[in-house]
Amino acid sequence: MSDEHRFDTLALHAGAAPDPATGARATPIYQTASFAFRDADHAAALFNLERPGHVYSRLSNPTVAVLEERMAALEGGVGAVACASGQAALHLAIATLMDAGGHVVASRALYGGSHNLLAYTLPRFGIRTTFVDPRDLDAWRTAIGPDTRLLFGETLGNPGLDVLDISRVAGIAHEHGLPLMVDSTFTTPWLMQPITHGADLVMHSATKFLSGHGLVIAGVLVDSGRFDWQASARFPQMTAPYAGFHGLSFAEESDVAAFILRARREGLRDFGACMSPTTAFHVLQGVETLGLRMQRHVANTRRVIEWLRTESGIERIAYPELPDHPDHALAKALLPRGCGAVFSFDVQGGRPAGRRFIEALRLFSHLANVGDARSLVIHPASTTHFRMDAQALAAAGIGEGTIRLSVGLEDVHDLLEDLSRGLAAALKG
Amino acid sequence: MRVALDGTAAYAYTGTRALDRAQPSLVLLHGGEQDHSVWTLHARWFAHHGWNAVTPDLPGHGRSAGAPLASIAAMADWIIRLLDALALDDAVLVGHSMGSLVAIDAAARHPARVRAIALVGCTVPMTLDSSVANPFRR
Repeated sequence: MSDEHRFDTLALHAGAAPDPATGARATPIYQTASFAFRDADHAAALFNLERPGHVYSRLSNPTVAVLEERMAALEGGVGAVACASGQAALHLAIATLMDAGGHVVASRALYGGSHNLLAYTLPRFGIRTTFVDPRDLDAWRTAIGPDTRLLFGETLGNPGLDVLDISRVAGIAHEHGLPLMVDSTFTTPWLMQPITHGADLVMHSATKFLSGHGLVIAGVLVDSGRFDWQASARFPQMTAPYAGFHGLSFAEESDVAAFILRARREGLRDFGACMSPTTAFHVLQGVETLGLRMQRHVANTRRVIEWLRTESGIERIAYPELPDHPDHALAKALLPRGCGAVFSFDVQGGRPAGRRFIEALRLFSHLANVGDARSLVIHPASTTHFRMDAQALAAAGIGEGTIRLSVGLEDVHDLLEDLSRGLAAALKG
Repeated sequence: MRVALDGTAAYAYTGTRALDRAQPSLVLLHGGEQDHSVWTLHARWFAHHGWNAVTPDLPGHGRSAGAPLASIAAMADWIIRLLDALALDDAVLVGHSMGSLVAIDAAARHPARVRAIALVGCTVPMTLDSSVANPFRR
């Protein structure tokens, strides 16, 4: 399969061919823990990276490999590792790049799960993070120190959809011999390919738009193959002999895929947060229609926002396509196909109004997820952030009446009717 | 491994094994506009099965410095000088595509240094995409 094909063709075909054993046209689910060796020498050669092939599904699996190749093709990378979750993908990247004593510079506008890992959990293992305003380029630069090993941000930040200026932040990273990793969960490669803007690594929670139907927990980590680990001299993990693999140097083994090779050969082997073949199959079904679905997600989102803007009782809508969003100009340049289908707005009346809004909805599901085919809603002040007072909420960029929507694929007229019902209830109080 | 050759730094992958002059040697030659990485799996297998698996990047390719050599003959002579630099008396040459022509030429003109040749993707004449330099006609 040539990478020369266009996006929607790659989304259906990259990494896959009719099954050589049976002719099955769809990618079969190879639901097996392990793979039989032909003889002792074949086994030894597989273990020692002398032959391509599968040994044990924690390390690689034919169904999972199709998803990995497809995501690498869609992102313009050289390889990918599929993980048990987006959290597992983030952890795998960090654990591959640095040891205790390492340091991350991260956008402060992150998904809460990522923030928890960086702010509270990784420090227990000696890895520190400095959080910066993603729009403040000087803050990125000055936060870099001798122990820094990674810059990390989201294509669209949480919760205000801050648009990461990937090429500028990547430029700062590269000036210091460091890679930039971008979480592209909200945008997917159909809306933006971070590698084309200079990102070195891309991660996804594939639970969201990639799988697209709210079926599975899944993550993907993609290596651009463009970062020069040898030139950086900050990454003995990639360039020095690795005692855990008979003195192998990952950069010696592969000029372009040293990172993803180590992520698999060490990270999946030892941390073990692999993706199951059945999960990979479900994500593949979503990826095959990614372009079609993202168009509809964005179209529905634009229509919902257009409607909200005409309604009274709405105080603020945070969506980068709107002229009053601080990153409006950057979004026009980076995200011409749209700014995704997750956004927040504030209803008048604070916490009680937010609660009434949520409880009146019948079509939007009240739950903690985004990127489902079905429309979703959450009121952070009464759920994910309920312990915070108004001041703490404001520091996190959340108001007491902030509502977050993940706009699905339903008929948009039905969505507007449902939101209309919610708004009426919110304003009744 | 890095080897000083013709005043520049040449690179050869050896399958994570030091060379052992008591073992037979194999030189795996890549094609035009490619590098040693096309042979990584093969080199690792031979390196762990009783062979020296020398897998160079030709000058101007991959990790080897210098300008690309202008002819097949120049590449064949460079391979012989690489054997000299590594103190290897002779080797089996395995060539892919352009590398197969290098193997043929080296065997024809340096028979004492080439024990055998194995050719992968070899045709004569060999045509190339017009977008790349064509050393085969020289």
